[in-house]
Amino acid sequence: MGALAIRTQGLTLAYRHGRGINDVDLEVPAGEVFGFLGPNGAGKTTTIRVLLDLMRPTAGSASVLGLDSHGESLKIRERTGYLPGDFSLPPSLTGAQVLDWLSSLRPNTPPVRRDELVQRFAVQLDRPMKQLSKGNRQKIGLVQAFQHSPELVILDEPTSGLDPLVQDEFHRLVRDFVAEGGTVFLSSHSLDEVQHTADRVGIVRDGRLVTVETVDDLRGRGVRRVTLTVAAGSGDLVENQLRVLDGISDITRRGDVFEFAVVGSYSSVLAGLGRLPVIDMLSRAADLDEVFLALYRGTDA
Amino acid sequence: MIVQRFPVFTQGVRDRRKSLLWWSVGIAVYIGVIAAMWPSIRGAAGLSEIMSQLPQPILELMGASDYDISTGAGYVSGELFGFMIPIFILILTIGAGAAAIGGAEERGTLDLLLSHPISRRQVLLQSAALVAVEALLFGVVIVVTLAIATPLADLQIAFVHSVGAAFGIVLLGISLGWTALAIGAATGSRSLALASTGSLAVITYLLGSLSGLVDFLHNAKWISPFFYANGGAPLVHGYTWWHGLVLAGVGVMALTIGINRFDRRNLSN
Repeated sequence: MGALAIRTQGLTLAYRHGRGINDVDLEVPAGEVFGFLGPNGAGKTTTIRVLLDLMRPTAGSASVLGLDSHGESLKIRERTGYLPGDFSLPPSLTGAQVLDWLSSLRPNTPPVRRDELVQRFAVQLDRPMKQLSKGNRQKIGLVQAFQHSPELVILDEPTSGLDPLVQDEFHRLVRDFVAEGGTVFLSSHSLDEVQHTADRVGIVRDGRLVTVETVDDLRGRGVRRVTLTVAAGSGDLVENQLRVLDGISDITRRGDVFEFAVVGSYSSVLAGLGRLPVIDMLSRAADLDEVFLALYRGTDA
Repeated sequence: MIVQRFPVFTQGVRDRRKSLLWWSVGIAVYIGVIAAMWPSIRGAAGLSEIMSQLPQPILELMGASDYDISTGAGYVSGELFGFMIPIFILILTIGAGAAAIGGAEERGTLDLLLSHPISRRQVLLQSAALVAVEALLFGVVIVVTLAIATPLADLQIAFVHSVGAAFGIVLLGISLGWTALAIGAATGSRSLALASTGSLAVITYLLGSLSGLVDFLHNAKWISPFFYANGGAPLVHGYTWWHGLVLAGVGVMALTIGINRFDRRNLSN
């Protein structure tokens, strides 16, 4: 009832290799699927690891399920499931042994959902980890994150290595889990990966949370990526025109070929282009990083 | 029930039981072979005379200055407890200690483990218990093998002395094994834990051996864990019990510092 599953205030962690986070304020209500998006190295994993007390913030605070991320971490971890981004397991253990071992670390919450999840993902339980493909190991990772029926599941790049059919099953699992009252916090570097499941996404870049929006809003911005080829020798003329057109950003040029992003209405851009010696124009939906560049360039400076 | 209460310890035993079995067999066979050679060595003419003609520094280096190598107990003490058995137990316990947390962090399994409701302190203490149990097993194998070999090879080793000597070896293994565990936990690096604890062992061993030879190193034996494990030839003369307190103290101190550092730092992923 309006409770927050995750809340961070001014969360900051100065960390080597510049992979820290800076002043992150985040609120994820219970019952939501929250997508945490950003390029690799932006600070997604660092934020997640602070929530689980694997790392300690240098400033600010985080609470999970209403509990302090450091002082009450054991209670948090009791009620949370986690899939690390770089998921490695003892190579000689079989899937069943891994799941047994991890359940033995949760004596108070028996793995009530294991059988159902094993069936759902057709997990191979009898093979040692070293014989499994990345995708099959990842399925074991998903089972262990959900098997004890936690309230909150934190997943770092959960769909990496999964084939498309399994990804679909994963999306169904997430929707079912949230329909039953659970909360899911998942990170990804690609909007496409989370747009089917996430209610809202937070975009993080260089350690800062740049924006939080609903997936619908973000898509609704209608950012397009355009490749424009103009008549030979007219590049300089066209470049000057493009620079002054409204709604165009992030222009790059290679000779007589331009690439740029279009945000919002197309018609004013088309009107502007109509006076130019255009030979070819290619337009496609921008991917997340391009959306980000078009919308938020300069705001994190 | 024990599985439920000490999951890290239990899993550690499960992971290592096969290698521990082979360790036990290997140690027993090694001790057995050395013991089996005693009757023929004792029979060889003039061993005592040769030994008595060797200069004192050479005897020091052989670790044979504390006892008469021409007795069964002295022979086993010199052949086994002076060098090989300490080396074997340190390979076992330093390896286990360094692997437990530093190794898990390097392999990337520590993140998942600590995302479960278990404290870092628990992980470290249960790992320490695992190292201690491995060292104890090693000690039991020594005692049992010597108990069987003593009448067969006429070694004339008092049972209580073999228990005392094995106890010193066990504590040596625990103290340096816990040091490696603590360094691994404090730094997250298995290789650093192995290298630093291994160097510590080698340097203190050399200093301890040289302390009888070189005047200005005369007091160096007091910093050598090997002295507290095997100084004064416990297999011949009985274990000096307060030596055990020093080794235990070193181990507990290392663990305390390790817990402290481990509890405060960021884990690497």
